[in-house]
Amino acid sequence: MPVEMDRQPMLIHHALFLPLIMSIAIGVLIALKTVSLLRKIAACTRWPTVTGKVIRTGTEGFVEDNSTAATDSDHPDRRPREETEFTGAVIRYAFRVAGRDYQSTRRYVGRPVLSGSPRTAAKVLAKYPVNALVTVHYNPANPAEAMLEPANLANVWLALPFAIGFGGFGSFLLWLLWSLV
Amino acid sequence: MIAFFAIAGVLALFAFGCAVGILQWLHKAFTMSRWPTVKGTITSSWDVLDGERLRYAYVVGRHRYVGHVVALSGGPSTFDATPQELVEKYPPGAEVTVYYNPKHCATAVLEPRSPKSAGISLLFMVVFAAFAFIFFAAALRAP
Repeated sequence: MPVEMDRQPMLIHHALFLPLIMSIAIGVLIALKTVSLLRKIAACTRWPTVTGKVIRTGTEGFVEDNSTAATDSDHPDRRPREETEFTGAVIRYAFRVAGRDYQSTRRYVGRPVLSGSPRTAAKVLAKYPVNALVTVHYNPANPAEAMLEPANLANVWLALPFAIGFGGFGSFLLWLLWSLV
Repeated sequence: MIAFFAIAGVLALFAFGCAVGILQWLHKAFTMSRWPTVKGTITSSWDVLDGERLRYAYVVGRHRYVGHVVALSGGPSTFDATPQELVEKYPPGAEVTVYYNPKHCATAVLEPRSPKSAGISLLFMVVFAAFAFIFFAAALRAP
């Protein structure tokens, strides 16, 4: 009977392995994606360049509501938390390759990284005013794929903490659990 | 023990739902990839960058058609191509291969085998199935 009773906690211990393994797997996947980004960045920095022109600028973003109905009703005395606004600068530029006109809004490899601070977007907008001439790096195999800052590591810096967080946290807890079982 | 069985059952149902989604995608992808093809041209402008819909024109017989669909999709998701990614792949004036439904030529697609929606379903299916297995094993071992 005591042996039967011990089985349940033992099983719970084993069940805990799965989310930890998943956490490590997510970390590894993000790390692989980061390596792929770095390889792409290395390739893009070798692309040919052409002079382009900034034709339009603006910002894009979304507002995240930090308060929820549950927390508001549970803590009516609490000061309402502010909304977080994520913004990013959009620089649209035009350029010509082999007699064909192209347009793009890509600044660097990967999707635009939105910042919580409108100042960051303002800095980018100040760097690329409308009608400014810019150096455009374009893919010789597909000139529609082009960017202004091929060496920008914005997406790498975004992915790295997640890779380390998921992988490291999962590995540490797995080691801890392994030593306890 | 019954609670563990119930949780395992619900999770298994979710996994089954995902599996059905994958099978549906496989069926549609198989069907669409066997549709006849024709050369088409991207007719949308660079304003796709501003949210304009991607358009491509193609001719079947004596009729000219305009298509919008790039790939089979279960709905909007963060895995969708951004406008920037769309124009990079399909710039204005580019020639494309259009797969059209021979029974209804106005129905067409550019990427019949795009695995996006199936990939997400597969991921969820594996996660649900793994947890269902754990709870099922726990239920069997429970005293």
